[in-house]
Amino acid sequence: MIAPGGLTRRGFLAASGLTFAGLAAGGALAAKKSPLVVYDWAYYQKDYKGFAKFFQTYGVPTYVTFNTDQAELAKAASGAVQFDLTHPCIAYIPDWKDAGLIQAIDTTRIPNFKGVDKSLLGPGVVGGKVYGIPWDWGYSTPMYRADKFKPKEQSWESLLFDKRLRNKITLYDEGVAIIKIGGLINGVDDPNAMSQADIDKAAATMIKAKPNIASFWQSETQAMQDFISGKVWVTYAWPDTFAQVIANKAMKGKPVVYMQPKEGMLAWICSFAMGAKAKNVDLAYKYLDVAYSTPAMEFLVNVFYTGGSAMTKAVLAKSDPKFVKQFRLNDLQHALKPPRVWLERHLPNRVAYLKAYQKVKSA
Amino acid sequence: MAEIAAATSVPEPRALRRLRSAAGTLGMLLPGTGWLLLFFLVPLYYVFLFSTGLRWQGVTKAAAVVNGELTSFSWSLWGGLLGPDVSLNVLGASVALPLWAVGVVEVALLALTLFGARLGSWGRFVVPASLVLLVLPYLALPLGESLHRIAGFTSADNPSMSLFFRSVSMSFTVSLAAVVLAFPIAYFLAFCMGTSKYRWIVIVIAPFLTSYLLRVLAFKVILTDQGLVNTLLFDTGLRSRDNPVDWLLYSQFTVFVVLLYAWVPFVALPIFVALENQDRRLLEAATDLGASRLLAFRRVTLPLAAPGIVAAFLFIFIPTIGEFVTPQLVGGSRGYLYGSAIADDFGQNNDWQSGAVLALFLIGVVVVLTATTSRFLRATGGGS
Amino acid sequence: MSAAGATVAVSRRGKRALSVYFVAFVALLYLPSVILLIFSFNDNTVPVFPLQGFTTRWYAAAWHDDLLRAAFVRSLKVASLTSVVATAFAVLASYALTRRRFRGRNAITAFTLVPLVVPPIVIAVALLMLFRKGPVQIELSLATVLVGHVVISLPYAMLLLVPRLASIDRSLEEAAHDLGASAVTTFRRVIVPLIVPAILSSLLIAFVVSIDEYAIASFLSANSETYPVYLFGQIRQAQRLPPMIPVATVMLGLSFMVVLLAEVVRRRGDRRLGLEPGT
Repeated sequence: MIAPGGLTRRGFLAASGLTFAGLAAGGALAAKKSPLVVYDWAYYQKDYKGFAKFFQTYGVPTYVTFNTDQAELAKAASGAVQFDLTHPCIAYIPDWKDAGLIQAIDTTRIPNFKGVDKSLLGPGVVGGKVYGIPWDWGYSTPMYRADKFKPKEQSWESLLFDKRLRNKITLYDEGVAIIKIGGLINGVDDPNAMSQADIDKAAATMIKAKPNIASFWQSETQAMQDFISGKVWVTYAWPDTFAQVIANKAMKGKPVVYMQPKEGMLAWICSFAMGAKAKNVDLAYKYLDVAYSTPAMEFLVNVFYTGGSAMTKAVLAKSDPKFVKQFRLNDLQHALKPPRVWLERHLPNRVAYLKAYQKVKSA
Repeated sequence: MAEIAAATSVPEPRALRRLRSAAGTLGMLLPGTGWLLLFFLVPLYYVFLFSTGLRWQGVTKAAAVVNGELTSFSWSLWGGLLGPDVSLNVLGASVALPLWAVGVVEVALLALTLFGARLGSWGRFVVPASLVLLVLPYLALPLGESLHRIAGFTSADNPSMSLFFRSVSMSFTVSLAAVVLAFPIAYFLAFCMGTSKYRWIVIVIAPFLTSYLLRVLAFKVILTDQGLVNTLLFDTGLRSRDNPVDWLLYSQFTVFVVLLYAWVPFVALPIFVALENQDRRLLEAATDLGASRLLAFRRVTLPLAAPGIVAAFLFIFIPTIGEFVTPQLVGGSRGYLYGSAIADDFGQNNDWQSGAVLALFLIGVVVVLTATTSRFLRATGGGS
Repeated sequence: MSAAGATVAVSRRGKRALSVYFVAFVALLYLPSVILLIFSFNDNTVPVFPLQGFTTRWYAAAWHDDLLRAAFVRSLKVASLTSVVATAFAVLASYALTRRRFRGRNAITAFTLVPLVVPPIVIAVALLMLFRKGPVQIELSLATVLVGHVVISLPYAMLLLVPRLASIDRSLEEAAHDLGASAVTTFRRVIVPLIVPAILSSLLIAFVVSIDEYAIASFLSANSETYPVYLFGQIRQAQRLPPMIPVATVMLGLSFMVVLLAEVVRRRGDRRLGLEPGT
C-alpha cells in the first residue's frame, strides 16, 4: 500500500481547496445587472462605452456572444438560446423571421431612430413590417501591404492569380463571400443573384485560386496577426480591420492600402432584431434608443471605424474626418451602390452558395 | 462450538449466489453504460433520423424544403457518400474500386494482422505482409504543403470520401509518430524516476490546463515566416531573410506538428501505466538468467507493454480522424480534413442532414476498428 | 529521485540519454506557454514579434472582467464534476468487465470506447437534438454540458482503468477471499490501493478534457458560457484577445502551485510518520 509520492489525496484536496477559495474571494464587486438578454457580437458588449447611459440607468444586460451569422441562426433556430435582442446581418433577417425567432419592431418607440438614413431600411423589411433595423455597416474588400509588393491592377483577380502572391493571401471563412468573389471575377451581373451555373463556375475559379490562398480566417485576430507579421500580404478586411492594422505599433511607417477593386467591393449591414419570445420588450426598446443615440453611433465610428446607420450631423462632427471621407460615412445614399459596392441581400439559394464553398474547401 | 456451526451451516444456494452476483455486475455496469445508452446511443439514433430525412432542421416542413433538406425517408444522402467508386493510386498508377470492396479487404487485412499469429507457421509470413498492405495507403510524409503518400485512396466525384482517406492518413501518421516519441518518456518516468514520477506526470500535463486555442496561437508565432524557427534558420545562415520556409504554417505539416504537440503527453500515459505495473522481478529474473538489458527489454518489457502500446495508439488514432479544431486553426486552405467538413455542415453550411451522414459513417468505421482491436486487447491483456 | 546508477531496466548511459530526451521534451512542451507568458506582458493588441514594451494592463483587464471570471468558474465546476463522475462510473464498469464473466463483455467494452471516435461536435448536436427535439424538452444549462462531458470523458477513464485492472494478479484477490474477505472488502482494501495511480490519472485526464472543451459547451451551454466558449467569442475582436492570455498563464501558475503544495503536505506527512523523503 504505497501512496503515490507527491500527490496524496489529502495534499491534492488541500491544494484545490485553496485554489477555489482564492477564486471565489476575488470578484465580489458586481455591477448592477439588468434582466435584458442581448445576443450580440463580441465587440458590442459590456465594454461598449457608447451604451454607458443604458448601463447606468438600467444596469448591464446579459450578453450571449454571436459568432457567425450562419452558425448562430442554426443555434437559435434549434432553441439553444433565449434572448430579447439579437444582431444578425441584414441578409439573414428574412431567415430569422421565417424561423419564427423574431417579432416586428415598432420604430416609433425608438425616438433616436429618426437619425437613421432611410436608404438603409429596405433590406430589413419583410412582408411590409420592419423586422431588422440597420445599425452598423461596412465594406469587405482586400487590404494589402504596399511595402511588400505592388499589384498589377486594383482587382480581386489580379491578387488571386498573381504568382508572386503564392500562399500570401488570407480570406474570410464564409461561403457566401467567397463564392461572390468568384462570381465577381467571372463578371456576373449581380453576385446576389447567381444561378447554379454561375455558382459552379465561381467555385471552379476559386479552386484555381487556392495556391495563392494560405488560409481562411475565422477571426479578425487571426487575419491581423498574419498580416502584421508578414505571413500574408493580402487579407479580406473590414473597415475596422484596416483601421486597427494601421494604428498598430508594429505597422508604423509601413503603407497599407484598403483596395477598391475594379470588380467591386462587398458590403454588409448588421441590424438589431427583437426576439419573438422576448421577456423584456420595454427594456429592449430603451436599449435600442440608446443604441441609436449620438454617443453610441460616435463610438462606432471612432473606436471601431465602422459605419453607423444614423450618421447625423452631431455624430459626424465628432468623427475623424479622414475616415468619414475614405469610407463615405456622410454619403450613405451612395456609399453602398453597385457596381462600386455590392451590398449583401437575402439569398434564396444561399444553400447552393454554401455547398459550392464546401467543394472549394475540400479540393 | 463455532467450528461445528461453521462446518454444518448450509452454504448459500448456488442459484441465489449467481443471482446476487449478476445483480452486482449489473449494478456496477449500469451507471456507465446506462449513461452512454441514454446520452450517447439515443442521440445518435436522432442523428440517424436526420441522415435519412426523417427529421429536418427547418422549423416547418416548408422551411426545410426551402433549405434543401429531405423531408421523407430516403437513402439518397447515404448513396451520395457511399455510392461512387474510389480509386487506389500507387506511384502514379491508379485503379478504380467499389467502396464496399475496399471496406471488406481492409477489415480482412486488419484481422489477419492482429490474429495472424494463430495461423502457426504461416503466421510469420502472413502477419507482416497483411500489416504492410493495410498500412501502406495511409503512411504519409507530411513535409511541405501536402501529405506525401506512396499509395492512397481518392475519389474524384466524391470530395468527402477523398477527405476521409486523407484524414485517416494524417491520423495514422500522427499516431505512429506520437507512440514512438511518447514511449521513451513513459519508459523514463516508469523506470528512472523514483517516487517523484507522479509529480512529473502532472508537470507534463500542466500546460494542457491552459486554453488549447491560445497555445495554438503561440505555435503560430513559432512557425510563421518571421517566427522562431525561421529566425533560427536566418541566424544560422541556412536560409536568407527573404526566403523563409513558408510551409511551416498553414499546411498539412502544421497540422501534423500541432497534433503531435497536443497528443504526445496523453499518449505517454497509457504506456506509462502499462510499464509501471510490470513486475520488476521479471526483469531481474531475466538478467539473472544472463539476458542483456536489451534482450530483457525486447523479450520481457515490450511484450508485456504491448496492450498498453496498442491502447495508446488507438487513444490518439481514433479521435484524430474526426479532428477539426487544429486543421481549422492552423491547417490553412490545404489542411482541410474530414472533421472540418462535419463541423462546417453543422456550423456554417447549416446542412445537418449531410453532416449527420458524414458523422455516422465515421462512427461506423471506427466501431469496426475498435471491435476488432479490443478482441486483441482482451486476448493479450486479460491473461497474466 | 533514485540514484544515478544503472538498474535492470536501463543502463547509466541509457538513463542519461533518456534524461536529455525528457528535458528537451518538457522544454518544447512548455515553449508555447512561455511564449504566451511573454505576450501577456506585451504592450500590443496583436501577438506578433517584435515585442512592443512591458505592461501589466492585460492582467488588470482580466481581473476586472466579471464575465471572464464567471465563465472560468463555470468551467471549473463542470470539469471537477465531470472528472469525479466519469472516474467513478469507469471504476465500477471496468471492475465488472475484468472480473466477471458474461457474454457480451467485449461488446460492452468496445461500446464504452465508442464516444472517443465521435467528433465532440457530433455528440454536441446529437444531444441538442435529443434535448430540444426529443420526447421531453430539456432546458440547456451547465447540467447539459456536464452530460456531454461525461460522455466524452468516460472512454478515457476506461482506457486507463481496464488495462490496469486486467493486469492485477488474481492470486491477490483469491488470497483475500481465502482469508474470508467479502467482495466489497477485497475491492476496498486490495484492488483500490493498487489502482490509485490509474484513478488519479483518470481524474486528471477527465478534468483536462472537460476544462478546455469547446464544441459541446458551445451548443449545450446556452446563456451560461464556459471559458473556451467565451474565449472563442472574444478573440473575434483583436482588442479583446490580450486580456484572455493572462488567464492561460495564471492557470499554469496555479497548477504548479497545486503540485508544490501537495508536495509540501506530503513531506510533512512523511516526516510525521518518521519516513525520510526519497527512499
